[in-house]
Amino acid sequence: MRACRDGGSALEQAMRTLDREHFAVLYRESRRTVRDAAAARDLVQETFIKVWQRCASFHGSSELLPWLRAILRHTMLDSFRRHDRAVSLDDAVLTAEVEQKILELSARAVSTPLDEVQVRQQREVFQRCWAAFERDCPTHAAVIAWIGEDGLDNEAIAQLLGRTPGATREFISQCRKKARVYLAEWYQLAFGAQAS
Amino acid sequence: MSDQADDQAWLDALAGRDALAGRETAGVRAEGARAATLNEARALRAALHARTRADELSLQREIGRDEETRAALLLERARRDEILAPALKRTSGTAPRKLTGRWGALLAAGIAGLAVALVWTLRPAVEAPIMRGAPDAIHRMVADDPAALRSQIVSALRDAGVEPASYERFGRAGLDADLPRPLTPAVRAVLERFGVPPPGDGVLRIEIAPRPGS
Repeated sequence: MRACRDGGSALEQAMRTLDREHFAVLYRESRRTVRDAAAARDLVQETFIKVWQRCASFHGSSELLPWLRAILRHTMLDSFRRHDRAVSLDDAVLTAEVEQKILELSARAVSTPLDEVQVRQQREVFQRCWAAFERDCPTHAAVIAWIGEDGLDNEAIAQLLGRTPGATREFISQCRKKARVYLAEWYQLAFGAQAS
Repeated sequence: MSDQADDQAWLDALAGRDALAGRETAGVRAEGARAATLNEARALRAALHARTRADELSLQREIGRDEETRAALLLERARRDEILAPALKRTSGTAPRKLTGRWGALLAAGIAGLAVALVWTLRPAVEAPIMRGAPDAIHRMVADDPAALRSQIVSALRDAGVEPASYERFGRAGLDADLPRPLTPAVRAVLERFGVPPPGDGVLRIEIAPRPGS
C-alpha cells in the first residue's frame, strides 16, 4: 500500500506481490458467485486495478483482506448491473399460488432424515434452480448467497448496494420473492420429501 | 407479524442468526415468527452451504494456471489505465519466455533498468488526454488550491449524503466516493456544480492537480 501511495519503480513489484498473495483467495470468492472461470479471473483483475486506484483511501489500521473482498463484491455487482437482463417478477410468472404453496409446505416441515438418493436428488434440483436464478437475477442471487454463507446483516447489505435502509429492506424482500419463484421446484421437493 | 418483520426473520435465519430470528431483530418485534419463514430460510441456508462448487483440485489448477501470464496481463492492464508507466512495445505478440538462472536474472534486471530509463527519458512532455466519463476513469481537475477545491467538493458531497475518502497522490489532492445508484438529485446537483460527469460505475474518483505556475 505504501508503494501504491508513493508510486515509483516499486509499484510494479508491489502489484505482482498483490497478485501473488491475494489472487487465490479473491479468485475463490469470485468463483463462488460466478460460474465462468474466465469471467471470475477478469473480475479479480478488475478488482486489483480498483485497489490501485483507491489505495490511498485504504486506512492502514483496517484489515486488508476484508477491504479487498468489499472491492471485489462491488466489482461483481457492477458487472451484474452492466449485464443485467432485467428479468422482472412479472416475466418470471410469479403467482400467488407458488408463494402460498411454499408457505404451506415449509410450515409442515419436519426433520426426517433423508436417504442418500433423496439428498443427491435435492442437491441436483437445487443446483439447476439456482443456476437459473443466478443467470436471470445475478445480483439477487449473489446477495442471498453472501447472506447465507457470510451472514451479512442489513447494514452490510445496504453498504454493499449503496442503498438506504428502507430501499435495502425492499431489495431483500424482492430477493426472497424471486428466490421463491426460481427455487419453487426445489422447495417443493425439499419440504414435500420431509413431510411425507 | 408484518411482512417487514417476516422478511427480517427470514434474513436473520438465512444468515444463521436464528437466535435473533425468534426474538427481537433490528428493532422489529419478531416474536412468534412463523415457523414456515424460519424453515424456508434454514433450508435455503443449508442448501447454499451444501451446493457443490468447483471441486478443490480443479480450483487449485485454475488458480495456478498461467501465473506468469496472469501477472503480465494485470501489469498490461495497469499500464493501459495509466497506473503504471507504459512499457516498451514488444515485437512479438506472444507471452515473454520465462528467464531462469543467474544470467537470466541479470539480463532481466538489466533490461528492466534500461526499459525504465528509456520510458522515463522518452515519456511525452504533455500529459495523455483525459478519458472523462470512461468506466473506472479518474476525473482530473486543475485548481490554484487543490486542497481547497477538494474540501468544497467533499463538503458538498457530505451535505448530499455521500461520505468521500480524501487522499494525496503524486502531489494531487484526490477523493473517492461510492455514489448512490441511481444518483440522487442532490448528488447529481453537486456533480453538475463542479462540472464532474456522473461516473459509469457509481464510484466517483477525482484528482485535482495544482495549476501550473500557481
